[in-house]
Amino acid sequence: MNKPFVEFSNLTIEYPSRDGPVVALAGVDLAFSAGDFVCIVGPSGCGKTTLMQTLAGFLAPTRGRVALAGKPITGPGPDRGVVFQQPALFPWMTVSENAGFGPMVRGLRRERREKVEYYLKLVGLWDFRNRYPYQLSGGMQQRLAIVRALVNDPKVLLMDEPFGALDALTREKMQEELHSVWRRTSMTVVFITHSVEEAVYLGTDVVVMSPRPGRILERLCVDFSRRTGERDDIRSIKASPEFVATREHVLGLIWASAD
Amino acid sequence: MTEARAITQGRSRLPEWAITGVSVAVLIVAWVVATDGGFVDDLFMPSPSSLWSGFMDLVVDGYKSRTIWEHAGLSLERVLAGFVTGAIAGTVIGLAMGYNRVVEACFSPFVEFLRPLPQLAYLVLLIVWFGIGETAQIILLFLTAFPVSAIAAMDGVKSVSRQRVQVARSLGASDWQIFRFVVFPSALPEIFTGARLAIGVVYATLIAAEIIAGSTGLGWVILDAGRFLRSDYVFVGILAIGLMGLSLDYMLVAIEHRIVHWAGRY
Ligand SMILES: Nc1ncnc2c1ncn2[C@@H]1O[C@H](COP(=O)(O)OP(=O)(O)OP(=O)(O)O)[C@@H](O)[C@H]1O
Ligand SMILES: [Mg+2]
Repeated sequence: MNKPFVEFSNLTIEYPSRDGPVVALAGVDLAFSAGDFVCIVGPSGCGKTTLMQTLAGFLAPTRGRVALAGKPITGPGPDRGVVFQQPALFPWMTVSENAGFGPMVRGLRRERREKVEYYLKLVGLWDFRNRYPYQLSGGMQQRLAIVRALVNDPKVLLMDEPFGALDALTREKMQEELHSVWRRTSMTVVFITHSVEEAVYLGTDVVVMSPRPGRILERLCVDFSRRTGERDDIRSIKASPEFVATREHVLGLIWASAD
Repeated sequence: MTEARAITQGRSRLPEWAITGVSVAVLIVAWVVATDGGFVDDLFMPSPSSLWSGFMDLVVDGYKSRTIWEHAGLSLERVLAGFVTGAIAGTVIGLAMGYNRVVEACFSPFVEFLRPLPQLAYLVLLIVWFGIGETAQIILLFLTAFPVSAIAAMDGVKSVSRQRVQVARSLGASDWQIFRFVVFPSALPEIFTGARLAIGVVYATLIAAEIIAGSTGLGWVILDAGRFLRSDYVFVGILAIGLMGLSLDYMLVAIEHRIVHWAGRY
């Protein structure tokens, strides 16, 4: 294994509350390399969002350390793009202004025009570039939120249940789009999801977390996402015995931890 | 609003403007019958013809050496001068108060104290300081608009979505850019709501300002004519002041719809 690109060491997060601190994460150790597609699954309230927030730099560790490329994280930055479960678009900006927000604030005018056009065309939003977010459907808004993160060329893309609100068909299309973008770039992806199938299908690594206080139960290396040749047929991958076995193993871990 | 109506009403037969027209027509007919029919004395309520001749008097001869247009113009100038300066200053201070706790701590005692204070309470003081005339009146209107706008802008800034700020920050925006592109636009709907509220109170205060600290303007005409029992002039004055207020509010709403067309729709 290469030298870790992202590293959580003994990370503990406590939220203050009236009845004493709530321990959301208790000593998480996790490391992964550049270019990995890390999917995080676990029961609701186990600390997945919390874990992502520390890597994004929105939340400082209570104890322990989070580092990116060897440097501790001190705050948010354009090297880490975020996509929340809610699109959190800027409703006063058009679709293309939303998409180009990153390069705009960083003063990269030429990149802005090219990347915005490229990604909006990729996800089928180019014809809507002069509309406002309220004129888009929920799925289109979520695609725009993802484009907004991608246009900024982050080294790490952090996604918190980005497809949670989408229908099955749109969801699979989005999975493919995200996957092809990941394959063509050297981006590292941290992807939180409630769908074990999605995690096993998309990830190079699947991280299973325990109920609160969150710890890492198991980390599996899976390779369905690296099999570029066969990927034309999603359904057959998802139905293959190997895929089903891995999926059931992960589900079993989550069920066992719930008791 | 329209959506909610569509739900509660199902299918509607008469369009709204027709209902409005009928309602106004009924009132006018009642007025004509009551006055021309001799049920109500002209002193209490002028008939249509005496209202019209009163209006022509005010247009041609004017009231106390000024035509009604001049009085209306003076009132409008005061409202605009007081409202525009007060709303802009209030919005700027309110934005800063919402964004920075030091600024908030500095200004909030004054803003909070000024807001519920009846304007007439300090009008007296303003007259002592600036004398009867434009200055005292405009400062009064400024002080009326200021706290309303300041509090609206501050609340607007404070209600900004945390996730949007986080997204902007992780895309590389600086503090100033976050203010300029995220916080300020988020606060715009509340700033507009504050502006409409402010123009309402400024308008109400205008009458008091003109009555106590002046001898011109529609408010003063109404009061002065009342003293001489010229209810025709009083009615013309009230109609003028009402229509002017309505147009000001319409203008603000039109600007609001243009600028914050996205408000409440995401
Ligand atoms: N601001 C907060 N204050 C106090 N406790 C919090 C706060 N945010 C989260 N928690 C607690 O920390 C724990 C982890 O929360 P987190 O949002 O990370 O869970 P999650 O795994 O993302 O859950 P879900 O799958 O439902 O989104 C939860 O038990 C929650 O109650
Ligand atoms: Mg969560």
